Amino acid sequence: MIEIEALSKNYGTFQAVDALSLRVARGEILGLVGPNGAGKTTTLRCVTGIIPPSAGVVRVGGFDLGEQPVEAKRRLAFVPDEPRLFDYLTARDHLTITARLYGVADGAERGEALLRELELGDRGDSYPSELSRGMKQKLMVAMALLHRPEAILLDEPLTGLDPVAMRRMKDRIRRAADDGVAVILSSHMLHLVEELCARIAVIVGGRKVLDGTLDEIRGALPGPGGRGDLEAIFMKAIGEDPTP
Amino acid sequence: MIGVLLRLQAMTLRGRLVRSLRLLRQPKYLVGALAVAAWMALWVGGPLLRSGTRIRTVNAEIFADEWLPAIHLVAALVITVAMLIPWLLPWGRLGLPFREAELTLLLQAPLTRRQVIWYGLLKSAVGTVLTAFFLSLVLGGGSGFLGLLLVFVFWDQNSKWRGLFLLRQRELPAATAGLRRALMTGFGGAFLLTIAVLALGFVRQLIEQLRSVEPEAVQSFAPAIASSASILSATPWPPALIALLQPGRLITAPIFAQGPGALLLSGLPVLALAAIQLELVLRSRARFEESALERARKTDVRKATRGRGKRIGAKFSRGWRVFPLPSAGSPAVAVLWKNLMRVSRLSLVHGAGAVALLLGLVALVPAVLHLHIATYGIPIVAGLVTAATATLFAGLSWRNDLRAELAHLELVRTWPVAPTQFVLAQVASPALLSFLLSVMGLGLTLAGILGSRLAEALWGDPSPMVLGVAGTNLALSFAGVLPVLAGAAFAVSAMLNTMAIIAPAWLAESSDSNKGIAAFGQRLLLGTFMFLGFGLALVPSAALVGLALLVPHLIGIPFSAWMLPLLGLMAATPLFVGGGLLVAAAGRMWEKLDASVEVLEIGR
Repeated sequence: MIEIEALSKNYGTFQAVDALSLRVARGEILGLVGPNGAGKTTTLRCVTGIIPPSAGVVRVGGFDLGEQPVEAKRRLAFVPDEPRLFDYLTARDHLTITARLYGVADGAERGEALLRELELGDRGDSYPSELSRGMKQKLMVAMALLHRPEAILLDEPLTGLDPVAMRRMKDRIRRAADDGVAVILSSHMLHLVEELCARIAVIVGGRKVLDGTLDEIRGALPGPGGRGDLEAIFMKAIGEDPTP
Repeated sequence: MIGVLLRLQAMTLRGRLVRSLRLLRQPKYLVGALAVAAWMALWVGGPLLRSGTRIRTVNAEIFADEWLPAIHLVAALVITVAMLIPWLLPWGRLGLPFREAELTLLLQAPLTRRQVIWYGLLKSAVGTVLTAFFLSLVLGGGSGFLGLLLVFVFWDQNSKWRGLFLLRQRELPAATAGLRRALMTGFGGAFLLTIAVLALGFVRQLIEQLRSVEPEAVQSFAPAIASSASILSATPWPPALIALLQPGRLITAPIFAQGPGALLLSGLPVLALAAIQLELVLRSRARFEESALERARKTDVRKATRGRGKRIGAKFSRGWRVFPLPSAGSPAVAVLWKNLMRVSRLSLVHGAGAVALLLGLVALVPAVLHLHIATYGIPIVAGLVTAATATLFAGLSWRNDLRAELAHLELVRTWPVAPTQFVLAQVASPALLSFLLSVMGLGLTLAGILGSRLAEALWGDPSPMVLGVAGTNLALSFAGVLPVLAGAAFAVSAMLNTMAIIAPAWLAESSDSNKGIAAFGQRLLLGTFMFLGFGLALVPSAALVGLALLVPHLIGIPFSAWMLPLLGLMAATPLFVGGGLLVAAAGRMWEKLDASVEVLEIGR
């Protein structure tokens, strides 16, 4: 569903992403992990068309993002790390405009259902300034799910959520994958990635250093892997001591 | 500790400066900055430097020393009124002006409350110094800088004191706060009222004196000033008024001090008063922390929405929509809908109804009340001015286009809208509102004309407003003007949005984009670009209209008002074509826009 081929992004002489290739199938959740400045957010921004890549190809549902951006974006949803909503629109307005942008026939009903599901049922008429960060995050997720995307990219989706909301969000992401949605989840919460993702890609300095299931990437690293969990693998991958 | 706070201030300023300078690495911003520098050098710097000489000359030749006491009294009157009135009002800025980030840092730092207040006072120090410096340059070649600085520091402190006083009022028991307010209003109000009554008598006397001046004596600026100052000095001030203005005289005395000795002598009392006032501010028991945090948050929201905070808070309008937005249809309409909602949630249909009702009242009420026929001149002129200016300038103030959208790039760039359609929707948003405002202006003019005719019919008053234009001709004129206004609004908005894509960091709306000299420079460039661009866009329109008028004239067809709608369409066509070409170009630029650094960091 999502194909990234030799994606590169340069900021002047600095190479943020270097010939990165990834594939995410329908129903698959790919975890994108890496230290700060590894190029995760830049990758997500390139894949969603927010910034143009310096080189490489991104395809969503077979549509080339560079050649057929509208078709590709129609199948895509992105939840950024910081919910940047329109201050002058209520929560319900955000869903109304999303429904129109993506031509969701049952937009109004689905919007209300998503608001209820994400515990925002009584906040439909609230402005973003009246919502907590977690609520804003939930609204972003509601907007992302409204048009039944075929691919979702989430950048730190659990930030600002309380434990109950975290659990529900994880269930929602799993359910989306069960429905056949390809998911890329970028997070520093390694336990979350380990719990949710079938495949994990570790990026360091804009380059993919590991890609595979937890067992595969564990096997790909030489020497003992400490406790062998994702945290230990991650520490080894970035050249740090894996022992706590 | 004050040193640390000063350092924090200096680092903040440095950070802003570095951020601005980094942008100059990109050629487009460098060119812009050089243009601003050139403008400053040519239009501001030169006259400013020359003004020092000129005003000093004015001081020496026109403003004689004997007039200074009277001018000093005027300054004392101004500062007394300006400083006292805010204290009489129960509303205003509460507490101290802090940003949320500053408070988060300061409140958890090992600082005393006194030190945090110190920081709040220091925040405005740079602005105070710069204001005093520029004003002293303009007024006297920089010579009165220290005197002005003292006065401004005192004034600034006073406003902070008042903010803390107002906050304390809210914290005190209602009875105590009420008593304090009553005392403040009673004494202050009586003081101010006495001054007003005495000043009024003096002004009346002054006007009588001014009337006696021969018109020939005041035909040019300098003699007029000299004559007025002379009369001001010669007119005796009521002794009671002089007595009441003593505190104001004391505070403003450093501005009028001649020489270092006099400055020291007049400055010491002001310094002493400032020190007392400072101590009162520092000792204030007002719990400014929570209110400042709350205000900082509200300010951020308000800035993000450009003064639409009240509307956002209005609970009753939450259910309003500018128009219904069904799920099916062009996605670009959703962008337009959203942008219109940024300005107002009022339904366009209801808005049109309300305006029609208002215009009906404008036409009817003066006629029914038999007001003077000249009353209709006000809506006629105001309407014409609105119609003419709205298309050109209103788009700049709606801010409901790409400039605001850039702060939401991570959302809007993922929308499945074709780039040209997206830009078209952005261009259409302010253009539509500007056009509607222009139509309202024309409606106002029409209401004035119809009202004056109604008054003529009702009371037989001869109407000078109608200009002898028959009803049909009037309708035809308006039909000719409307397409031109629409075309102009579209062209201007297209230029503005294209500029926003070319130089996003300068034009994007953000919490700090409306401040500073850089912002002024950006607006200057933008204004120049718009002026030149619109002038250029009008050339083909003028050529077409000229041709359309010339051809019938050459073949002997007389001009008729029926030609006006056609002429209007001809004039509007190049504006729409030009705007359309810009939209197409901007669409391509939007598609290729790499917002990696300059845009994605906006508002962060």
